Amino acid sequence: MVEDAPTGHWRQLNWPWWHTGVVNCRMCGQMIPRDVWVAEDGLEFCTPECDSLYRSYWLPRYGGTLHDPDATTG
Amino acid sequence: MTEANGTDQVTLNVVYNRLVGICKEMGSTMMRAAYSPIFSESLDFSCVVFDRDGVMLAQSEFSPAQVGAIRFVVKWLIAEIGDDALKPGDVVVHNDPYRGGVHMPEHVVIKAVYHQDKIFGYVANIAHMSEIGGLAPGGFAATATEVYQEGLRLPPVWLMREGEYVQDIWRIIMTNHRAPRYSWGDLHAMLASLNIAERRVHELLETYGADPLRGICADLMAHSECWMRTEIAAIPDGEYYYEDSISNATDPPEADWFRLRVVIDGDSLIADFTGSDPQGPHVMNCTYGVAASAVYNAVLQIVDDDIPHNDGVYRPITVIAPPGTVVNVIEPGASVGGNTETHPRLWAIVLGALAQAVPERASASTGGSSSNFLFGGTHPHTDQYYVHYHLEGVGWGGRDDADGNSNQVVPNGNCPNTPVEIFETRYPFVQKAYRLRQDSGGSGRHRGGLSTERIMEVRTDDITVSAVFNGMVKRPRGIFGAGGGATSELTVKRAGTDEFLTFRDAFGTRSNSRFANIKLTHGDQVRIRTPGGGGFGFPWEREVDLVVRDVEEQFVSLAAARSAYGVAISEHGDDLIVDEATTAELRSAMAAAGKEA
Repeated sequence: MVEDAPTGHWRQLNWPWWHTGVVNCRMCGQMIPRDVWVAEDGLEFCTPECDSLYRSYWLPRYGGTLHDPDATTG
Repeated sequence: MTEANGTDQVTLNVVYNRLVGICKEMGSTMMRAAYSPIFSESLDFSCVVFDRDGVMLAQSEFSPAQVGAIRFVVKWLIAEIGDDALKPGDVVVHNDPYRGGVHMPEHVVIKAVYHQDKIFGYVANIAHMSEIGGLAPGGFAATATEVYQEGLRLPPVWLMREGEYVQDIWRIIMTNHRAPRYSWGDLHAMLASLNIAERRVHELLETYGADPLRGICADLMAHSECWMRTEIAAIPDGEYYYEDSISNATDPPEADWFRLRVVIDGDSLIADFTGSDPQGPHVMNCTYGVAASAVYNAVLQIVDDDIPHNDGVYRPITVIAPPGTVVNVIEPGASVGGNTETHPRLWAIVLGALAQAVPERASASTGGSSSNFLFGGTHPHTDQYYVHYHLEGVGWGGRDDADGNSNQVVPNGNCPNTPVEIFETRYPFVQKAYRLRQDSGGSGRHRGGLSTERIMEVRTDDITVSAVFNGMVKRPRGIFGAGGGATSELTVKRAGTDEFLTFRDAFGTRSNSRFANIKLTHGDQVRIRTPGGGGFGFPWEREVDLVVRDVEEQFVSLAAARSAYGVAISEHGDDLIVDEATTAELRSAMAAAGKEA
């Protein structure tokens, strides 16, 4: 079901030491502990696999809106 | 036959069993060294070995509730702190539910295993500590609306540095937990299990060497992944939807709904919880780790038992749990009941969806509640603070080839409950009754398992109790025409009175199933009735001989034999006589009514 890994780049979260919040992937919901996958269109995921899942599974079923962007605490 | 790195099947099996043996020895160490019965009796922990990337090599699922979570919690922890921050002898701890944990009482400890000055892998365990501070004794802040009430939350912090205590952290923990003596002992049991695992991994490295062992482990995971993909491929492709809820026994009841779409596409499976309710101001929200564990446990229920449990087995499964919902709580949502109550409900929902694809492998709903009963106070004999997390068995669901198991803790728990002898020795309660509940199993071709009734009398004037129950409002579901299991009840008979009352009636609590910090006194009796399992298949198709046996065993009453199973039985002395003509008539009428329905 998951297609070839899409193109994009990794971005590292650089929180100050006193920051203890958590960022969740808006596709699968997993925590993003350090590195964020940034897709070509700017959407951010925990991994390239989630990027693929978004395009192959999510978009055809639910359209373009991912889970609530406020659903992060980072 | 060999795998990609050339490992033969014999070596795969030998290494896998040695890895699992390490995990089991970790568990034995925990059990023997612990101070709290939640470790020593209930075995509420899981022990795991990881590779240097935080990929799970083997586990010993003393408590399956944690298996999915620990797969994530260690990998995320290493990614967050960075492996370059670790030194030999370091131990990192955290209990943050938003970082892959399952709920606040579960603490994960992790230690890197070094080989020739480089990290070969990690050993870790995740365990339920019996007291963590917060608004109620026992680690279950039943009425919490946010995480800050649930106890001391630790982000990843060093418990040990190069083998030495990080005293500041220990002092914070010991200050915030109500029973620091137990926390001290239990944390040391966890550390001991890491030390024994570290020693055993070194022995494994001596046998095989680091690089060959990595290759064997890679083959082992590929083997498990391939096996799981074969199992999933055998399930018919399609999308299978199921939904169910958890209810709070308030007046009127309040429900949270869980919605699941399981997508089988070839050899992969997606479990998509999109559409589930937003997280609520209560403790039944669950973490991502719980949602993932529930999916994994349900899938493992229907596939070959012999698949080696490592990271590979989970790779074909994708879990989508929208953040901010009841299946993936975000800060500051509470979640302590999510692991014990929501997990078994999600497990049943996954099986409910898969039952549409593979009905012969499904089972009806279990009682689905750990029936958490917590208490603490100063012991009249020792003058020391005591605290205990008590859980109960429930009835499991009937299945295609058998009745449901009776009095067994929820499938995700796998925890023995506290024996009466331990209970009465350590805590100021006397057990007045402990028995199976007649007619609590849902009627069906295969009957649901029976639940239990326990009555305990308080023998102190200083005890504070709390509870988190499920299954008081809705009967656990039967499937394929079967009846549901009995609902749960939690009642109290105050000293000097004759009647068991709900806690709402006796103390004015908002809910009968979730309340905190109720003071009981000497002579009060608590009665716990847990939920039964749902039945499987039409009750009128159950063999008459089995119904008679159930009546003989007092699992089913004479009245229920007639009304639920259509079997007319009368007692003649010690003998049970079946009225065959009436039975045929009753069953024929039930079948006709069932077909109409």
